[in-house]
Amino acid sequence: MSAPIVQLSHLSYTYLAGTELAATALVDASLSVSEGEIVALVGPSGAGKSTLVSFVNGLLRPEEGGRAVILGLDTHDPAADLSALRSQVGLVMQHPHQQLFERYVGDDIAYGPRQMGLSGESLRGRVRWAMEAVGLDFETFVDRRTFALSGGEMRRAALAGVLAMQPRILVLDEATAGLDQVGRSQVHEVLHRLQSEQGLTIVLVTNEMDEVVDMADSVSVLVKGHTVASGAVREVLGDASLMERCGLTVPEATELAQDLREHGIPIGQSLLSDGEVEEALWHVLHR
Amino acid sequence: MDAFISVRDLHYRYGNAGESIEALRGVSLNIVRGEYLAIVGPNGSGKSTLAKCLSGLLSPSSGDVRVNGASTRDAAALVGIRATVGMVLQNPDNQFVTSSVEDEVAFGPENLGVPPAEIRRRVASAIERVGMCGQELRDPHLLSSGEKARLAVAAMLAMEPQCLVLDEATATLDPRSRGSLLALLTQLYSAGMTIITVTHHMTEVTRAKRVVVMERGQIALTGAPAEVFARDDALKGYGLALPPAAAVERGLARRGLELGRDVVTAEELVRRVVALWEGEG
Repeated sequence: MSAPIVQLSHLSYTYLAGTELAATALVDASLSVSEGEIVALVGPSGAGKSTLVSFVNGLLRPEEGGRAVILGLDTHDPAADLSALRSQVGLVMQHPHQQLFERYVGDDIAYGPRQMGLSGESLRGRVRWAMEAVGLDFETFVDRRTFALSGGEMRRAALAGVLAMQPRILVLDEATAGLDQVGRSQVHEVLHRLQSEQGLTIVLVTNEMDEVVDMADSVSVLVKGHTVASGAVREVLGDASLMERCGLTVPEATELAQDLREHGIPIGQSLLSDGEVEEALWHVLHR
Repeated sequence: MDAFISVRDLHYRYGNAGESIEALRGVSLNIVRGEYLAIVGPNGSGKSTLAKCLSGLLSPSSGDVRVNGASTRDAAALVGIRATVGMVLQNPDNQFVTSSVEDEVAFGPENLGVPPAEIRRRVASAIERVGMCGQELRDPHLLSSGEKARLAVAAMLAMEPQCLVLDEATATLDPRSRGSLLALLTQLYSAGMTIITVTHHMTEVTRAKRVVVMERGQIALTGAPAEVFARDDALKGYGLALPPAAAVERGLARRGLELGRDVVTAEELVRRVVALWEGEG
């Protein structure tokens, strides 16, 4: 296996340290992501997920003890070139309205690539590519005012603005919350395609266990600032007692399968999707 | 029975004459007291706009929304309407204005001119109902997102509304917090409160008694959850999925094993599977 492209080890972080308002967000958190991998980060709210991913693009830098090495760059090093890092790590934030600031959708998406030196037709082409990638029709939306977008359209525009910079690592902080089913599958499809065609590495912060099942190669669980589990999706999410201890729930399909098993239906453990439950029931009921 | 909230030929346009988006294009709907209504639909279908019109946060471009007979266009009636129909937004941060949980809950009734002793009673009762006793002095902005959602509900309860409208209030909650907010809604519904919830979560929709499916600013489909989820072809066209139990039932039906198209909840699916299993065994 290739060396990790993101290696966060034993990170701690306290907001407003040394003041009355000090709030500890991370105690001992680690995250390792290989190139081209999709890793999900889950945990109850307040666990420190957003804080942890802030280390990936150098928004936060390690204090004593911890270490953050991203794309070979140790961000603890005062000489580290963080602006180079930030152009290669795209961050899509939880609330898209914090991310959109231009008056027109097209200008907003063009902002990043323009900063990187693109102009004219190549800039226009890049904006078109990013918009179509997230399912925003170029002609319909390029001159639409950002304020006139619906919540779901805003999320897509925010994602397009980051994709337009063609980052090597993409960090999505609950970026699909509030998207409808079609919008979410569209975004998932785009991300899978970017992963397979361009080797994009993705860190996915989410509260949706079904999204983890759909998307991730592996998953890491953060609870109260501690990394308490990480591994293959089926191992972690299918483990009901682990999820319970972490203050999380198993995916809905897993819960349904457990219900069935508790009622004496002999189907397997840790089924993760509707399709797997259907398949298992078919084998049991079809004689 | 008289409608509690009546919506007639409601249109809503964002923007100005030169550049506008018509978010609602002729919506008519009656909501009776004590209903549990889920509003679903793809992004941009007008769900949130409809929710904001129901609670008087937006005033119709044309058509009419009446709450207990009073029009939301009537500026004099608006304070009363907003106290009757409380709205909880997706990012409650945007609606917090004070620096402690108890001040936040007291803010609404204070503005309605409720006497201090009555405010104290309402604040204590609302905080208790949402399970936040002991957290009265915390800063709303430093709460977890699940706590923020519950605080936003408490702030509305202190106005003693007859109806709560939730606009994707569970979208960014972790699964536990989502579960506890949903349990709270069911409890309020059982106590007679009208609940209107805008959501993308189909399992949440199965808790409602009636579903309204929005599509391009109009009502495309309405009925009980089992009726609406039976129309899976139509739903797919509207970008909506089925709840897991219904998805599993449809999958089995396609293979020739019929458990019944009216299955929408896990309990019902388990019941039918067990009946079939024991019948065969």
